[in-house]
Amino acid sequence: MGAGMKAMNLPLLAFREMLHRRINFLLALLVIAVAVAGLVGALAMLRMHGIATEAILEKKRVEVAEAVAKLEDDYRKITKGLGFNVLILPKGQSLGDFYAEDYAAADMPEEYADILGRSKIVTVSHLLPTIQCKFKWPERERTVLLVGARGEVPMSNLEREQPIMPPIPPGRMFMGYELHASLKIKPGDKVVFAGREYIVDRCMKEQGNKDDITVWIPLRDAQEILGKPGRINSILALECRCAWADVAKVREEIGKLLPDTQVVEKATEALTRAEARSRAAKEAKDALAREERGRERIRREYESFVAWAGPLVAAVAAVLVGCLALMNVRSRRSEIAILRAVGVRSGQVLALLMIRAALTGLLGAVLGFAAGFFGAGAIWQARSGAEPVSLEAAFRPEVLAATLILAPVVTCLASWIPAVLAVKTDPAAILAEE
Amino acid sequence: MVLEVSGVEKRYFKLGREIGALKGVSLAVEPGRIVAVRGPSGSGKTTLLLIAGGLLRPDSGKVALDGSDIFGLPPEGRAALRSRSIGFVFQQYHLVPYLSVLDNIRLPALAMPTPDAMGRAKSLVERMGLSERARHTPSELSVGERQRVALARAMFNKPQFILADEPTGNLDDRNTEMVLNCLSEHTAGGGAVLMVTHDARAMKAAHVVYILEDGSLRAA
Repeated sequence: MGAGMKAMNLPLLAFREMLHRRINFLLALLVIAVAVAGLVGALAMLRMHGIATEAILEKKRVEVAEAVAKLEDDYRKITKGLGFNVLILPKGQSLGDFYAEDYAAADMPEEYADILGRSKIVTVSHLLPTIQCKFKWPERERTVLLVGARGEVPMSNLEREQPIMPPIPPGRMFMGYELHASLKIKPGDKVVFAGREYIVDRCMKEQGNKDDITVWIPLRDAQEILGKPGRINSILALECRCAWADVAKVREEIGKLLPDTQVVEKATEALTRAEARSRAAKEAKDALAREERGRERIRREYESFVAWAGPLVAAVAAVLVGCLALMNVRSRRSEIAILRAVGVRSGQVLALLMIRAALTGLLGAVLGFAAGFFGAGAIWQARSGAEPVSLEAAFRPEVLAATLILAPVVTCLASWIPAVLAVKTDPAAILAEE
Repeated sequence: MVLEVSGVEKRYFKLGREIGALKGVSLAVEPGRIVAVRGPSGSGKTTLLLIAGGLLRPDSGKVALDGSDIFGLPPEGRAALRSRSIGFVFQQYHLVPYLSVLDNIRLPALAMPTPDAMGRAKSLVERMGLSERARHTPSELSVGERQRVALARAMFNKPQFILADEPTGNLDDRNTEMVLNCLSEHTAGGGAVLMVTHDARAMKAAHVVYILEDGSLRAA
């Protein structure tokens, strides 16, 4: 059955008219398709920008998280190695004398270290009770810093880690650089110290500080040599786990347990380095936040552009479509008049013109959407350095649905006035004048 | 069914000047009759035809179909009346340029659904001798063929009245004879024809001839 055998109806009549007046139809189609393509393309670019931005930011978030984790690890290692530490001293110890002599003259019970070890204190990981004193090494005629250490006091509330400082075995001695270098002593040598025989267990590397003239022996020996059994004059608390060296918090915890002591900060170098890393981490996070703000600003600019350009494009397209519709009905005056003459109702004529507008709008929407969406995809991929975005991810069915609805509606609205003018034109006037 | 035009007046205004197209025109078109109106160009013939068909409202006077004033009906009512009872043939044919002969003939089916519209259109095509042209568009037809298509369209809904404006004006003898035969057959079947013409051949086929001059009608 050919086209001519189909039942006569308004959509068929509209379709044939569109094919007959191709130029007018194609111009209207072009206007709608270009407008739709522009808007859909802008929205697709906006969408792709959003997806790419999120992908970039996600990468940066991962990078920043990794960098921060590394910095935190660095910080942990630094504080472990150098001590992000505090020193617990007898309460009566003058800090002026302490800083001048570099050791405490006053003393306190060794039991204090055990009290801390048994406590649930959470801000300290390692405890090293010591007794220190300048001491004349009688056998060698040397003034040394004698340190009696018993090794690390176990913390009852912590899982045992590798001790930060191993205990000094009985009968053994650790010797500072300046001493063993000048006295030509090496590990394994036997030395006599204050009448006691020791085997040199370790010869320390050069430190450039008081450690170079220090002799470390077991705590019990030092207490006996110094005549202070059961006494110590400092407890070194290492790896304080309070954030960023909150000494006040450490003081508060220790002060509750050992009211007869005072706490001073030690190893500010570690603190400085840790703070430097903290600043670096903060800077990385700030950079990410700046990137997010920058991307958001660009997105808002795009949205602002679409917000005013969209209605403008739609309005211009509507005016052009309206003009083309007016031209169309002008060229169809005779045809419309004869339809009225054979009894076609004005509502039917209006429907005929609206069907044409709706078909044009629908076809323009389909073509415009395809052109805008795939065009935006091609432009995006062609941009050098652009984050790849798949078309599937950028596709938004709600935009397609809105396009397929709004384009025919706008086209019908734009064609409405010309259509009403055509319907209201007196057919007799046209049929009589021709 | 009788179509009566009574005391119809119609005035136009051109460049601020009043032109009296029709001045109290009255006539009746009865079943089985061909009524012809002749007159010089600009005498108001086409105006009379449009008023008689309910397409143009007169300034005064009445157009009645079996006594009912057709201008008392709303526009949609008049459209329905036209689709049922009146067929128009225009001097310029007014065929739809993008439709085939068959589709142009069955165009009135848009206004009034017709059972077997295609069969009816085909029978009219054969009756008008246009079988070979059924699929052609108006631009591919001769003047005579276009006029025959216009006549077939006017006859599609089997109207009581055919109102024809110079139906033979541009036709050769053969086509004129064909058109006039169709109109005669229409009246023989109980229909009626009102045509305006200055073609002597058409006037010979008419049962009544009027002369319209300066807006006034008188018997020839």
